[in-house]
Amino acid sequence: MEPLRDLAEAYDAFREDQQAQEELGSLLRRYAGRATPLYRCRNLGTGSTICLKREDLLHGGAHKINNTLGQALLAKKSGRRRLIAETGAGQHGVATAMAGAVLGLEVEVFMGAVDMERQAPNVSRMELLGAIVTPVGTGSKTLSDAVDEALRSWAATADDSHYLIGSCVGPDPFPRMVRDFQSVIGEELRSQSIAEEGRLPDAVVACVGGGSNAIGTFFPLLDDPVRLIGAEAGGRGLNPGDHGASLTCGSPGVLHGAYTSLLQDEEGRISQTHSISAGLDYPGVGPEHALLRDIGRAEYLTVTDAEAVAAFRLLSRREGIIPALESAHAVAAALRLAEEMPEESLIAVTLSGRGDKDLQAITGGGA
Amino acid sequence: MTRITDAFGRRSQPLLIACTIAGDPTPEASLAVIRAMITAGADMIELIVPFTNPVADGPVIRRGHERAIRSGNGIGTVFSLIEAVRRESEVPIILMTYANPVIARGEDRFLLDAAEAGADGILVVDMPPEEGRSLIAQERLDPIFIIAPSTPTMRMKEFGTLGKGFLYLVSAPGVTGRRDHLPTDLCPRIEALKAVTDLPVAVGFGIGSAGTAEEAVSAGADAVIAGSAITAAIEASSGDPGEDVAAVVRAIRAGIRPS
Repeated sequence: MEPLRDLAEAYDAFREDQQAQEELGSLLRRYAGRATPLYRCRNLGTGSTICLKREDLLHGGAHKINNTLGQALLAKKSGRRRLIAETGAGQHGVATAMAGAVLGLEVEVFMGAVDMERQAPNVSRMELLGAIVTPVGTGSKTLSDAVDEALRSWAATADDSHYLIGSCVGPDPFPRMVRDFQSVIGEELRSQSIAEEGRLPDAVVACVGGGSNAIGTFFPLLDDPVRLIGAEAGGRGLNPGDHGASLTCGSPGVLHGAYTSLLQDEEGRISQTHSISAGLDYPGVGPEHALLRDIGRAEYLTVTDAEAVAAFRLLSRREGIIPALESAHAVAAALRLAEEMPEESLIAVTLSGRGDKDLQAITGGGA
Repeated sequence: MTRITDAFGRRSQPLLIACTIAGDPTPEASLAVIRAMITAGADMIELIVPFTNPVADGPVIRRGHERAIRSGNGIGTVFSLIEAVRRESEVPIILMTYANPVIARGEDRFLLDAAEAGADGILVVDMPPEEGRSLIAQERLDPIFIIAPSTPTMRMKEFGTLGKGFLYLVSAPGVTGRRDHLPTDLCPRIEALKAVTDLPVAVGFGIGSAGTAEEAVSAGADAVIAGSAITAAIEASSGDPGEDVAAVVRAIRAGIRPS
């Protein structure tokens, strides 16, 4: 509890610290490559207009750097010398390793042994960036086990280390902190849509694993007349163990210190999950998504592995953009929506990352 | 007076609380383990509900959770083990669990079922009192709270008021698991805790030998809690885990009650 109270206090101070906020803004612009463009797709052949918020163009190739720069700077300002992180696909681990390198902090990343195999190039990247990558060999050996291990490490080292959580999950203040750092996506998207398309989108779509790029997209649009749509991992279908659709199929419970929607059995044991994309392979979800679902402000639907792969290929061929498999779930959902929504609707999709890391899963036996 | 308070009241020497995961590795072996712990001199039993994500536990206990879950043990095993022990012994039983199994069953129902099975205390690792009103509101089970090395004095005082039976003092930052020695600041930490509460103080995390148990008692502990050493004995056992566990319990007991 106490490290969490300390962190909440440090975060509140960080938000009020003008100098720190300017430093973060500068890092986001000059190091990470913000603002990212809002690109209007030219060749998807849908009746609606689909725009992509190009987080894949950020340094490191994913939206993760928005959060890692923010939290790493917070850690540095509050006197920590070491960052701990968990990673699924490896994108958050890489983004943490980058933030640690540029801000002079040590980095240790916990990664499920299965994921290390699935995402070997990202392991090499993290190591090149100076991080220690520690394999996690218990449980399903994926993201949720990596979170367990990172929490254990933090429990022993909270005095000098910051747990740089990669998604809007975990105990307070993590979900709101990650939401705030990722809200730059929705803020830019909102003003770019008005400036370049002359209107707000009718719907925004983002993929949801833990849900950080989605909450960052949704949060600045909560008060606007915009449909907010999250695409969850439908995996091989909606039988238990075959998917990662915590909002569509889950029930309320507590995991990793948050009360949220979980994939679990009737006795509260956490279920195994599956998704072709490691980043969506998580049995829980950010608690704010569960709230948005319950109050009816956001909608969540599922996209299967096969639909995601089809969208991955389509976007690559038609638009020359190779999306991350996670983001391909959002693209697939947008294509589906484009069929259902009135002609000339404007749909904005957060393209959370690029797909270089997924080539093996698509072309090799990984799929 | 509950069995837990009673045991502390009657004691002339420090108590030994022995922990095991319900159903590790099977329900039958688990009952044999609990019997062996009692026979070997454990004063209380802490029975752990198997869970898929035991975040506060080190590798040994984690593997115990995995074994228990693999052999299909759920909450049914936990309650029937408590009932079985209660039929033959008045030993105080503390049920230790993560929050999610409690929430899944419904907090009130979980607490009621545990009490009716014969448990005396409940420790929910990841449920602080702010989130666990049902724990505090009921009277049938003693709510046990954990004092971490980072817990400030104000909070200790609060736990001292809300808790019953005893307070569980974690010896060092981090997760469960045996250590060669306990930290040197244990004695001042126990003193600081005792300055704000009248509840007995049990020390856990890191105690798996006569030496570490003796260190905890010298530092002022009213009881010591051992889990990983017992679970490791179950894991290593080739035949009857009961006998191997009894040997571990006797060894630790020798550290706190030199005969």
